[in-house]
Amino acid sequence: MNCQEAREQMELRLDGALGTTAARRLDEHLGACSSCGAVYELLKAEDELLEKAMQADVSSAAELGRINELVRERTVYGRFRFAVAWETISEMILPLVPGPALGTLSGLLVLVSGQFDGAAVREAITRSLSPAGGFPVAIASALAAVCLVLGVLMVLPSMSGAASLNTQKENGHV
Amino acid sequence: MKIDRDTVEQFRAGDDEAFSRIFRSCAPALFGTAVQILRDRGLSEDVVQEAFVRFYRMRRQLDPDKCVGALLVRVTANLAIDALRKRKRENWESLEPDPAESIVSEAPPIDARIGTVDAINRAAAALPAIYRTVLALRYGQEMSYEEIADVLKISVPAVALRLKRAKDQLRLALVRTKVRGSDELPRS
Repeated sequence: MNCQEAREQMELRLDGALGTTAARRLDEHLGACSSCGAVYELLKAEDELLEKAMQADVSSAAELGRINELVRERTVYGRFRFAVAWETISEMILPLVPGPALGTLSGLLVLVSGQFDGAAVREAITRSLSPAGGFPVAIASALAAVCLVLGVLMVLPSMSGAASLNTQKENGHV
Repeated sequence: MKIDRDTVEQFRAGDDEAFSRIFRSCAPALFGTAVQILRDRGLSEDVVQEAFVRFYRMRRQLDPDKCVGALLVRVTANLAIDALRKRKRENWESLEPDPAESIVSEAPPIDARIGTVDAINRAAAALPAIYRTVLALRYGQEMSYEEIADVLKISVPAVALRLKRAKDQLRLALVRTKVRGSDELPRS
């Protein structure tokens, strides 16, 4: 290896981008050539200065605090709020759900059993709900059933979020 | 950027305190990198915030046996670069280095007399975006050429050339600052 080749490889070596064989050849050259050895030491010192400068903490407590608050708002707190919102909604809606849901279910059973007649479905739904029903009731019952399904899908993760947050509260982390 | 295996596993399992620990240990360095790339502290706050939110959302896919810290750095760097590209104040592509260029620098290495932390950071902040970015990733985050190539979507040799050019410009800027400083000294 000559000095020109050594110069080309020094910075790659410092950056960990030189293969094992090439690194060994460079080391041999640096051991034998004092001028290249001196240049390598200067480059190594420069690397340390650059790392020190670029890794210096430039953040302020206020900036990190703002970021932290917004991150938690969008993750941990957000999940918690979702759990509370669902709890409130479910307390209001869930007691109303069983009747319409049963109506919808019976309508769906009619469909599944092969009677694809819209009038028959409507009749089945309305009959199961109320004699004075009709389309509004059928629609309401369908919506309620959708709410029920969504509720089951949503309540599991939100409950785990609330539980996790409660644990944190108990531990004094929030 | 190191995050220990236990913390990653706790975070994956939904432990929000583990998430807080990761935030406390990584956020200052990630903010520093974002500031170096963007030169805009407000935008850097947004970038770091978004990076942590994305990191939180991908927690169940994290592999504790892999370097999870590097993933967080990559997410932050990509968001910062996207923000830079959107800003369009600087022409990113026209500053690509010439692949035929030698990787041996003409400028002398920075030494401790001219390379104080403040001087280096001031000079780096004045460099074009592509050079600030590669310096921030290499020295601020100690990323390998392969990792930088992956983030910047360029080849490994292109990373070496870009880094060389960035250091050349930084060295020259610091020498010029030193010369100007000497010229301004009162003459006896």
